[in-house]
Amino acid sequence: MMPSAVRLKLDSITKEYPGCRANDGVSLEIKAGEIHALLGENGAGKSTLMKVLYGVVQPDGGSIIWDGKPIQVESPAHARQLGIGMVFQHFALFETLTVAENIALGLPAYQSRDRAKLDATIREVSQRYGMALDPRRYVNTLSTGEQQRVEIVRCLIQESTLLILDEPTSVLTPQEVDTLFDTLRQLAAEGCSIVFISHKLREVRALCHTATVLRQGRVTGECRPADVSVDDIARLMVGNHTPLQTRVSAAEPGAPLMQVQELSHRTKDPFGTALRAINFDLRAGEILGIAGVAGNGQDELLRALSGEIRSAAQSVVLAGANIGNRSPGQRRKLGLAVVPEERLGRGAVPTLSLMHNTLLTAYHQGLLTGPWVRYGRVRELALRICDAFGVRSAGIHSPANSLSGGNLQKFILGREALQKPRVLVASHPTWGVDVGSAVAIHEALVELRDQGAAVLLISEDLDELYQLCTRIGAICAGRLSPLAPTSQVSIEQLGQWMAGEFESSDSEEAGHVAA
Amino acid sequence: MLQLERRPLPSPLMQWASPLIALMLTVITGYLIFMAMGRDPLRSLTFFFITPLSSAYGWAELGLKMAPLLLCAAGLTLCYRAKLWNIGAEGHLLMGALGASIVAVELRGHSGAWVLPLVLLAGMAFGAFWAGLAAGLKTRFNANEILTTIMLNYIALNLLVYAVHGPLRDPFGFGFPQSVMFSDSALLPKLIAGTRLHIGWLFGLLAAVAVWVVLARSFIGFQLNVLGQDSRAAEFAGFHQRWLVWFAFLVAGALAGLAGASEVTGPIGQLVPHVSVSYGYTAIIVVFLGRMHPIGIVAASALLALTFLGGEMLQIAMNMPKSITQLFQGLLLFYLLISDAFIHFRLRFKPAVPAPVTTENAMTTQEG
Amino acid sequence: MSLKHSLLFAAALAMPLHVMADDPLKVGFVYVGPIGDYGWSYMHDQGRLAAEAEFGSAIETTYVENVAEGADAERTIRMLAQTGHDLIFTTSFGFMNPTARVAAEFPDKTFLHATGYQHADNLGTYLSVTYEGRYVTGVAAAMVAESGVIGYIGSYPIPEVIRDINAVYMGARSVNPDIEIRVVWVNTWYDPAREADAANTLMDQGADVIVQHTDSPAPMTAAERRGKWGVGQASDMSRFGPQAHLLSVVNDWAPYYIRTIGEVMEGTWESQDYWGGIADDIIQIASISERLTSEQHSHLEGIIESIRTGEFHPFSGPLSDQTGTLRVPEGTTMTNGELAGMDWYVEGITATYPQ
Repeated sequence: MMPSAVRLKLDSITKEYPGCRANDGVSLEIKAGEIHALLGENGAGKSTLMKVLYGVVQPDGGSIIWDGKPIQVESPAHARQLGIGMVFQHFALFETLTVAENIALGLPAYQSRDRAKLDATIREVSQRYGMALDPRRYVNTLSTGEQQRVEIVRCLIQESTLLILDEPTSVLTPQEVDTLFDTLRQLAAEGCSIVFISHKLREVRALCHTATVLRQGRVTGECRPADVSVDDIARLMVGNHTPLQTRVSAAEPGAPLMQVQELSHRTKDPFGTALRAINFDLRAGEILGIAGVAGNGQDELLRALSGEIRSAAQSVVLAGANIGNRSPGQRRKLGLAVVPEERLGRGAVPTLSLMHNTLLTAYHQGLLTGPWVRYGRVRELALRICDAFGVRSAGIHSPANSLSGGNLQKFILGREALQKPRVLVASHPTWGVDVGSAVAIHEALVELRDQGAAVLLISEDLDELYQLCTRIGAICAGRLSPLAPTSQVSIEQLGQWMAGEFESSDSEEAGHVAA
Repeated sequence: MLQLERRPLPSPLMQWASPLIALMLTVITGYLIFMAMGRDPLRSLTFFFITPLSSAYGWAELGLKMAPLLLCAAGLTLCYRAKLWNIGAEGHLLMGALGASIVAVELRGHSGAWVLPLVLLAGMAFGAFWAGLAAGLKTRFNANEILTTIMLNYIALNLLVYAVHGPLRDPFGFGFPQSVMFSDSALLPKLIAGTRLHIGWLFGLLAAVAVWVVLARSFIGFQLNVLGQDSRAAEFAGFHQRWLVWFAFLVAGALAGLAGASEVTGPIGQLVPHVSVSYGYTAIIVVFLGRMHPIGIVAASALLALTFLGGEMLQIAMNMPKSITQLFQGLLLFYLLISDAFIHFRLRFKPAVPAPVTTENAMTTQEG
Repeated sequence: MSLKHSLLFAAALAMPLHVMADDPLKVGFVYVGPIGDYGWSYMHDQGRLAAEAEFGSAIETTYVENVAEGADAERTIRMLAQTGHDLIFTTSFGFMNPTARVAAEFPDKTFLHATGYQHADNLGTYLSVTYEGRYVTGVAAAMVAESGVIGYIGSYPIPEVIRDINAVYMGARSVNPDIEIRVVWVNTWYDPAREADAANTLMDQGADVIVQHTDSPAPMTAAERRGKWGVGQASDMSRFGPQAHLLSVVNDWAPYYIRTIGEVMEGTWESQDYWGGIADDIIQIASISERLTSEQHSHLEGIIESIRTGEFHPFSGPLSDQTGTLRVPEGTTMTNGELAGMDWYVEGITATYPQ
């Protein structure tokens, strides 16, 4: 099954950025027809390594051997010329062009000139690999999964013999993931080499033949994922001193704290998602999880709850008060705390210090006297947040953008949690966060729950949702699926909900589905 | 090969060194320009930078020129910290001069300590009202403040010209466009006897200190900063952006209005068509030169005031063209922008990588 | 050495009353515009140069251009007084109060302010009687304005400009009783762009002749481009519109400056309100267009001559204002005092009086 010809060999690749050695003597080998996982936490050096391989940056040291010959990859165009294709996490597609036009843009003139032939090629390639695509459709009408297919088909049409996929499953429903894996297996069987970048260990085990694990720019291990346990791989990724998981005790939900009734919102943004008649109750002492593929109304829902989007007064009720038309500040006064998806540029002001970022949302916590700020108290609170949540930084005077994603997220969550909220709404709190920080964040959410707060967790990470949530549902195209106790929702069921296959969510009981 | 490379963190040293480096480069360039003009460069520079300050009178004139710049710049600092690009200080100032003049002419003949405060308050109110128009247009109709404030500047100028040709014209002034001279009760007291320096200069310093306190200690100052750094975070945190806009504009308007009132009740003593020599526009340069920091704008307003005095001095002493003033101001700004690049970037020497010539490479180029 | 010089200069600043004997008479000039405006300030500077040529090393002159008419003017004037200038000419109306204030501080120095009305023992005023030239302008303009419309670019509605608009109109009316004069106010003395805009607006409204009461050659250039007529202001502007140039009303300050400087040197100067016109050669009509017929030329020469001799005064009665009220009865002529405060249009002008 495993062919033996070595397609790509990286030897001691080193790349240094100011203040950080992103790759430190990284070596790896990929054979033809091999699916090779590149594992590591954020900041481990995966992206840098792939940028070196794809010609985006030049390495400071080391060599690349391609089909037995040492080469220098000058540019992405050169990489494509060599047969290296890359599917980025954030797609590089023009929303207002068709599938075929987008693909033509990346092709040399001789391939893109004959459009009819190109259309036929796209149909043929996409059908062969089970990724149905209509070349005439406009990209903005495609689902995220379909957009990813466009990127993959583009690489295949360029006759790539090495395909790099950067976190490809983070935007897909479980069913779409299965389809993608089938495609990738078929490609590998035909001799195409695949680099699969991920931190979802279960997927890696299901798909990949071999894996290279990076930590802090160095290779910390190589393995055959199928032969080792998930915990073994995780150890290689995070080192020996970090707990891998939160132990979650059973929840004891109480009375509803927040009611959302017929919450609707029409967006002005042509690519935004409208919210359609959303109803749910959020109870004290529970974590309610909302799954969904990115861009299905999660952001709009969070904004409508936080007050950045106003709606009818009675559409959001917090502890008996109609707050749908209140400002974010007024909602905070009533005990609402919010952790938005964007850490820099919404949850925190990038250029301001942690101290100032503490004041950003915690100003109701006795930090003001009349018009004046009591900076002594702000300092105390900032120190308390950093201390309680293990935020590693150069001090509370360092700007938010000098912190790593995980540390900043711990800081933001800490800032919100220490305000003793009645309701906390968090969106993707562990997205792109290292395992250690993710564990700390999960523990904080559970602790809040146990203190009697109601937590709404919006996430794309199904592992996280299943691990933490008391009840779970999904959002699709601005509609909310039925909600049900997590133990009663199978992953297949949740996948269908994420794809929009559900009746209206009027009655919660209707959603009770046996696992 | 020298390359600009982004620093991991902005350099705090360069933040403050940059204006000084810019000043140094300006002096050096000035030296070369004077030399190229065939003038004695050292003597020219002395006349430009030192002679204006060689007497108490010179210092007083510097203060006099500084006062309106500093008052306008203090208000603009609040706006610009919040990235509200108010270009309207000139208009606020002119309306302030007009408001103060209306009251001063109306109260002519009254003596009493209450006259002057009333005159100055009228100036501040008119300035604030004028800024309020732009704030209203922004908060109500989302009109771009750069455009509205610029247009309001022209309207203010024409209102002032109308007033000085019409209702406020001195009836015994042979029809010339100027108001009567204000009575002494409406004139600002002198700070130093025998000079023209009046207490308006103290207003400027007080305004700078007040703005400093607001920005460093008050919650509204913090909110303005957040709005400027990251408006999405301000929205997320639930700050009332409209109130912030109103606050920044009204304060800027009142301070610039006070500057206008101080000009007509200070060195001029009456309303004339040329109250301002673009103080409101020069104040924009002052704010940027002063790093949007209250201490910085005090230094910057003094420096720019000196370029005006130095330019006049060179004209009188060496018969050089007046454009020397603009030349130096331009150089200063030009070098400041260049030096500012080094706050976020640094120069790094990189050995050039010899590009290997391969057939693939040639093909790549063709394809691109 | 250079440093020493400037320090001496500084010392002079610190001692305002410092006077040295045997030094040449230092004369300062303060201009509102650039000396390169080819208009008002340019002509004052020409007068300064003529005085320098006349007196040689006996005088030393300094000029300051582009001085704003606000708070800066006083500093400039004072700086001149402090740096040993014995005689200072300030050449714009807006310099009046600053000049008066500095004059009061320096009683042993002589100040002369153009176009103003404040006087003191050491402060006199001087004025060119431009309305004489404007009257001639009006006559010539009516001769060539086939559309019957004259365009006038007004700077500010001050008595001098009002007077001159009246003079142009009366001169024109003497040739064509139906002539119409249109006025655009630009509120500046020198702004080439706005002046050109105003000229174009007036030509769009049918004006065949553009008379400018502003200082840049831009209106002349605009008239040349559109094949209309233009009238030069203050200096001879014929080179800016070889075809369009009808005539220029030239302010020649040289005779006045030479005479006044002489008087101050000899100690015979006395404060007065000086009005100089065609008779004193302060106002000259230059470069009358060759496109006019010889009859037209001699008609104009005749009018100029009758003004020079005093036989004719443009503002002699009977004169009525726009409402028809008789302002100057037959047989009388307006006095300088009345002219200095003139704030009404004569009957027949259709433009609205600016308020």
